[in-house]
Amino acid sequence: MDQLTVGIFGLTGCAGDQLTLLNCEDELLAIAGKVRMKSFKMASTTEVGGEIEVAFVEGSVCQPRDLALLREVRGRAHNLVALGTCACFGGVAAMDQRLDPEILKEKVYGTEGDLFAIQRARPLSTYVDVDFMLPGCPVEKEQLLETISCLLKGSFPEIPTTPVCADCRIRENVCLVIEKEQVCCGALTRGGCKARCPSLDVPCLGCRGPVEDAYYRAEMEFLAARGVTREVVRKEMLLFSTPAGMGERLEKEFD
Amino acid sequence: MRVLKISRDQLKKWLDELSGTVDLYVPMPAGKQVHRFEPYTTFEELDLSYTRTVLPPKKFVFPPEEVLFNRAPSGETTVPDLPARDLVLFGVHPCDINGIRILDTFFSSFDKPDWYYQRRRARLRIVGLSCLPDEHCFCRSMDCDSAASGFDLFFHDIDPENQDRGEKVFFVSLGTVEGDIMLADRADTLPEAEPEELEALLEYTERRESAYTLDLDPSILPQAIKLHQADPLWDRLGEQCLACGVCSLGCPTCTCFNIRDTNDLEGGSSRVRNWDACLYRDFARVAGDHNFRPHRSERIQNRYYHKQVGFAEAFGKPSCVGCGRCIKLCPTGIHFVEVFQSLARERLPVDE
Ligand code: SF4
Ligand code: SF4
Ligand code: SF4
Ligand code: SF4
Repeated sequence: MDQLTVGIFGLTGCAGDQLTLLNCEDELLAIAGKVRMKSFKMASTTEVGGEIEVAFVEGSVCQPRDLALLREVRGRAHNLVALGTCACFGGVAAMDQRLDPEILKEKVYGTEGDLFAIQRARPLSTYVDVDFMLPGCPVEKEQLLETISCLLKGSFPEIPTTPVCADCRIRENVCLVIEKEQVCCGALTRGGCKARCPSLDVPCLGCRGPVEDAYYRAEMEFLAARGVTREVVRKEMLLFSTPAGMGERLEKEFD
Repeated sequence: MRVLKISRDQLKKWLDELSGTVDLYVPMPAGKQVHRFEPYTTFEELDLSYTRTVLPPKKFVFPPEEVLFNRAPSGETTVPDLPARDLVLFGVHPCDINGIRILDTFFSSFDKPDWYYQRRRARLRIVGLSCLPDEHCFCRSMDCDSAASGFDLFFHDIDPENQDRGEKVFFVSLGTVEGDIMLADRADTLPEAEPEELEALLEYTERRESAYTLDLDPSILPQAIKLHQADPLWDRLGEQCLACGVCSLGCPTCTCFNIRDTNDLEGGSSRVRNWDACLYRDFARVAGDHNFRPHRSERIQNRYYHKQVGFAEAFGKPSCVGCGRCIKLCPTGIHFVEVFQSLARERLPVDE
């Protein structure tokens, strides 16, 4: 494929993943040569309708208008890539599904909140088929470029599915759980960030979202055995390491 | 075998000089009880009394990630070069020396020996260093507590707790001609150990013998595993395991890898191999989303089975050297030796 028609769309999120693309300064020219951008509000006001080969969609579905845009994009795109952890798993917005979204809205926006409707935060896959997931908060630049390059070639992007612990041990870090008795979500979290945080002595918060087979109970049990309260572990897990909707299950299973 | 003596000062001088002509890697501390093989900086920084590094020397011959070849948009392929200089690994303990020997066997066992492994191995020189076991070591049980060969030089430190004594002396065994050459002109000037010093070396070996706290009878392991494939223990381990894969990544003899292609915007690509582990869900996942080992219990059982039965049947000995890394690194405390003890102790002979 010589040129790929691409659209970049944002639902509710911080736009950090779109920014990652703009931050690919050294590669932007090469990208521009290979990609025909049909929609990228953050970078250009040009908006072209019609079919696109690849849609990158950032953010989670938190408002009716997010859902409408998502459905419209899905209808136009041959491939839909969930861009970032919010799009893949719900992210921070979906952190605690027990809270009433209306109350959250009021807390954040006060009476201004009356101007728009919201709904419980969900990842894209709740509503539409997602072809590829590119997790990260924000996504790793190399993986974004790799994804674009693979799609250009007509092959499948392969993003790591192993946990952050694998990255962490390959860097031969001190394990914060074993050596420092901290709560680290590395075993539950998708790797590919080269264990950015534990490498700086900060426990992994799980910002890349859960691995496909995250064993919450096992993590809970072994941390509890080390004297960490279940409430603390649950809180850490809910931040990022669980997919939307997991909170209630954690409650049921562990409280 | 000739045993020479080298003083601490001579050792320092030797390493200082060696680091100018080869890529010298030594055990370096990286926090409480954590060590890594890293490039030599100064003699004062390396830790001669370390117990184990996070990753074993395998990372030098079979790196976590390795580009096998690059393919330019024109279609031309190139294989990345390795540095021309030798890579000398100083301070390798017997378990790890035996680990490399197992890798040597494995990577040369195919119709075609693994070329990528061989070329890294060809530039690797191994300088051994004696050690005292900690509570996770069971190399003695696995018959890997000493290395008869597989090193170029081997340093015995019979007083490892005491590193700063001015008159400190190491005993050096020569393993290969290359080792002899590495010591260069020193080999002739270094004095040989006196009989009473060899006596002290023997005493140290006995002291070391009695320092092991873990014990395991490896002869029963294949049988224990084969007979107890349906044991509820595996389900319990499956519940406990996080499938983080760290036990396997850190194992000196685990050799599984994945191969994938990466692409760049210009249309070039690279074929890359990286470490994989049977603990991961994707490891045994095939087309159609079928998985040969979907449950953690099956995966952890596979690891034990492969080490003690599968590998042993193919190569005549188990692929475990008793280094204790999998025990030390497992966040949930799954204990290699205890697993076997519980399989063997309580349930042999078969209960039915
Ligand atoms: S510090 Fe965290 S990510 Fe690293 S090995 Fe330990 S648990 Fe895993
Ligand atoms: S270590 Fe964890 S929190 Fe840090 S960047 Fe990686 S996934 Fe995110
Ligand atoms: S199985 Fe465990 S003890 Fe045996 S060699 Fe591997 S890491 Fe070391
Ligand atoms: S290190 Fe422990 S928790 Fe991780 S995969 Fe191995 S046995 Fe399971």
